[in-house]
Amino acid sequence: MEMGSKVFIIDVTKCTGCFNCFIACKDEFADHHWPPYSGPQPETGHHWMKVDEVERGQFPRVKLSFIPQPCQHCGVPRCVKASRNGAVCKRKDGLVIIDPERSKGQRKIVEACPYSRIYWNDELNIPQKCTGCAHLLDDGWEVPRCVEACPTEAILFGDRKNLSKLIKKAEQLHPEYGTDPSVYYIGLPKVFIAGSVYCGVSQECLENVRVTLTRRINRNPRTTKTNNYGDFEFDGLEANKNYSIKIETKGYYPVSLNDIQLIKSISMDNIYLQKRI
Amino acid sequence: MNPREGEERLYIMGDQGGPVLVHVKNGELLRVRPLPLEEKDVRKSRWKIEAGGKTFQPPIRVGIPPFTLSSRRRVYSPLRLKYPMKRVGFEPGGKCSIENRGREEFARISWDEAIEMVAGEIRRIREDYGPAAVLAFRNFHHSWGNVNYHYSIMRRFFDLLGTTDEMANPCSWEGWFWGAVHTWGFQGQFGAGPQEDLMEDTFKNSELIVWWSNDPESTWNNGGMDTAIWRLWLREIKMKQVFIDPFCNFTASRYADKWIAPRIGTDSALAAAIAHVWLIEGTYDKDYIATHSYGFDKWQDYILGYEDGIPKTAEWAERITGVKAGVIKALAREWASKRTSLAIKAGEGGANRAIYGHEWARMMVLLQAMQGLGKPGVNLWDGSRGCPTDKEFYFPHYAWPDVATSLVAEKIPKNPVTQKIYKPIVPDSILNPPVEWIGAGLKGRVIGPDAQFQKNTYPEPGQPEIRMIYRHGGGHLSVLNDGNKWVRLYKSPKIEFLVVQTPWMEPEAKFADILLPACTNFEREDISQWARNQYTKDQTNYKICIFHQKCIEPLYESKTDYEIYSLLAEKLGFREEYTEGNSIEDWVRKVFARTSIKDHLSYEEFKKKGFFIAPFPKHYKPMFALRSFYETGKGLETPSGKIEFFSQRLHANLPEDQERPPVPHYVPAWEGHTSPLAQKYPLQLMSPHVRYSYHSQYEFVQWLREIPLHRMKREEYYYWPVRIHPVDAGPRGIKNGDIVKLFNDRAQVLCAALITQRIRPGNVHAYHAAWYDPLDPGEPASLDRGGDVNLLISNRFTSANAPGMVNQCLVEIEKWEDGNGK
Repeated sequence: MEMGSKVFIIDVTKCTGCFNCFIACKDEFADHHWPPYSGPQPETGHHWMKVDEVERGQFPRVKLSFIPQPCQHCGVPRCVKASRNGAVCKRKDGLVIIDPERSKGQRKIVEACPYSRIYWNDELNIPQKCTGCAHLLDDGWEVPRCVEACPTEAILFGDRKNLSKLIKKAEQLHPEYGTDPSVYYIGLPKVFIAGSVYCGVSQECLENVRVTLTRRINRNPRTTKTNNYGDFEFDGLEANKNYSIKIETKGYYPVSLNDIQLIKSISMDNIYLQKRI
Repeated sequence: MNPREGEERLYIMGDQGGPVLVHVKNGELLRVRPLPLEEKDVRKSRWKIEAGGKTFQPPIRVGIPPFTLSSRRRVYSPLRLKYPMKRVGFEPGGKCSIENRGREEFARISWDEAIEMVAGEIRRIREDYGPAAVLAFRNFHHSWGNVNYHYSIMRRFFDLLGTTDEMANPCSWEGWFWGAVHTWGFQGQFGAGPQEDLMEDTFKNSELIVWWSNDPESTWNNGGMDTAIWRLWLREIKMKQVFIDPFCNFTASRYADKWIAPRIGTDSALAAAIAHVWLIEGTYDKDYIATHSYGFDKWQDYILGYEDGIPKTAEWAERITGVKAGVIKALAREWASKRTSLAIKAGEGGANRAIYGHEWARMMVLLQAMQGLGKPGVNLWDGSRGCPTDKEFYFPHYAWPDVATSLVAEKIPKNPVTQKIYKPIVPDSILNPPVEWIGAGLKGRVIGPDAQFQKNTYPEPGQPEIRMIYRHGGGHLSVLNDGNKWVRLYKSPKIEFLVVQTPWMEPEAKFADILLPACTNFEREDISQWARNQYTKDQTNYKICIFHQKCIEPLYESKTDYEIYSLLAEKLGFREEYTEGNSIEDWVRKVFARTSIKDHLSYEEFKKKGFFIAPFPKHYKPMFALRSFYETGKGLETPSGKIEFFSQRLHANLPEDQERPPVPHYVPAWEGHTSPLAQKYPLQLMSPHVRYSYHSQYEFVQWLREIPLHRMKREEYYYWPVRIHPVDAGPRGIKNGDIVKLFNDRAQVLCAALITQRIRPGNVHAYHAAWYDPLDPGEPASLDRGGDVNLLISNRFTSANAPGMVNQCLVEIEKWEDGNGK
């Protein structure tokens, strides 16, 4: 399958979760018929542009990310494979379009998408999804509605060759699906370990405490120092790995926390260091 | 519709959230887009801020909020009122039964009949009781456009007619108005601090921002998302940012280097403890205090414990707020050791509407005063206002004093009726008169500080009680507190006639006797400037003035509000006085002639283009707010001209007030975690301004309801989320997405549980201004399914002498067993 030329670059660090992209998509498609690109999007239930809220950590150290997900316009689209009669096609520009006539009755198309980006329209009896606003692009528009509505340019859209520098910094969602999406993400949330260190006597926050993080398998340890709130943090970690932390500073007994199985981000309970006697 | 066929036209329109480009096909709205800008549109208008080795310029686009983008669905909502209607059981004359208000069917009537009936009832009630028996009120906000705004054409009508005035509480600004005014003045902007050029000041000169009760990514404030880019820039210059909020709000959860979560309503204890650290460690600007302030010694007495025997230590504050003493000290030390910007939402922030929010607001000013407020980098910056802007460019705002029709009319009517009623206690006043309160509310003009001590009574001696209510748009049921009182009011036989004028069948509209269908801003002309309110000229990257190019004809039989009032005025014999012969466009043209736009474009050019972006001066000299006070130490609107730690005005007028004493105090809330009521209702609820809607006006728009952070779909209903910590949810058997009942002695409200770590245990969060949806329509004690948590909150004044609204209360939550709330 020929690689298309259009890509989305979504910078999660710039997305504030305003849902303008979602609403702009509704504005364009709800009860609008754009033959042969798409039938009307139903009033409820379809999120052709979906925005997921991802919360990491525990009180009082919590981080929030938002992940906008249009159709991934895959390089190896499973929806095309699951369709009959050419109901789903990947265009030269890479956008994947479901034909609103030919796709009638083909529920398998919905199930085929590993990203769950395809929705069933009960009334029209067809699968539907983001079209990348192909009908507008073909009419001379530069970008889809979602991109236009984004107040922070968290979503970029354009030709692959023009955006190649950003693509190099980015990653795909679930690359293990092997579908090679044309949507690239910068700043996807990973896993973190964080904590706060206090003096066991005065209860004050301890600054400049050295914190060392090691993986069980011999990897280079990471170190950091606590800030004025006694806070430390290691972000960008891999989930489902085993970690250990050592906390040490002059005048106090060190503390080691071993065998931390990091399933999701952890904001540890406060750590109180005992003064050396 | 098939949007491929037919003629397509483009229009420029202004909405609450900003300027839009509207595509219309075959006379129907096709799409609503943020107004697209090109480089040539903004070439002369782009300012620059240089900071951290970088240059920042506003982007070439407008950032409008999602609810403005949903306008097509709002305009074509199934809830649109198509024609005038009469409650089936209603007959004019004041003798028909009203017990079915709120649950009765409506029957269509003609405009002639409707105008006849409404005018007739107005006449009858004035004759039977007196002009003051008529009360007209409106929602806090409504359809955008200066001429058609309620302050303009609605107020003109009712001032000419002569009615009891509804004085509004400074609903977003309570703490600043009733509190901060007494520390630093600025009554012209409700006690909020001036913001001129503070963005540049902070970017260039500050080393730390403490965001206290401030969430610009959520609290849109008409500026929409236009300033979201500023917060990204702060990250680029590696500004350290601390956020203080019981809820890890949407700005905090993305930008905070540190989130500090005091228990709801205890912010002033935290502030006092910060002052304590500074006093003990001597880390405050003693010289500034000596020259720029009054009464510091009394504040010191309070903080150090000489006044009441309780030093306001970090440990003392930890017991109250739940914030660790070590963290409080670390914050205080960092704050004092750096040039710190205290980013409070100018005049707003949920903490200012907490119980005794005036104490918190006062302390915000005083804390920065202790660090030399007005010094470069030491300010109270809003975080979404105060960008560089041409201060000479004139465009009137939508509120006061120069409100459209008042600005350009030949004669400005003066209401001959002097009786007043106060918005938050309208039901109490009408149902159980007489009522007394201290403090004047707002009605389209700035009031002096002494008005805060004015005693008021309803009814005014010699004046009749209210017998008729004319409600212009929107609703109070989910915006004001203790909404069940409003239900009782509407059902009271005292109210012989209730007319509602609005585009939609809103919850309040269901109580009407007569419904008058108004049209939306998309269906008429007008003129406005994006986000230009009474004291803010700089909360958007560009000053964009908009000619509202009418996009479509009024739908069905709806009319502009102006036409409706003109028809009524005609029936009542004062049409000529009301309109002065002007059409809407005549008013628009006259307003235009007073603006600075005319120096650049002719009216016809402006009308054709649809928008004008004010140029930015070539040689711009920033005038940093409060810098001149810093330099001179005088000139504030306080008795001493300085920052008053001890408020002379409060001392002179209310020296014995324990809740708002001359020196601000932490006072335990009358419905807070230390109240006896907490035994019964142990969870504290906070209810800040909603993110994806605006004062309930967009609440019915289905697309917004589809946003999972805004409403959670369970079975076939979309529930309002209540954010609750697992430690509170677990023991109650509540899982994420469960339908739950929030309840206390005032009300019961169904919500969907959103389990989150972003809230302090013991505290829960549910936004304000949902959609009142009683399971038992017309019944005051009905269980509400719409998530209207305002029903749960008392309309008791924040303190006895400060008649402000509060946004917190005590509740219990339990799982609602019946799956879909039946």
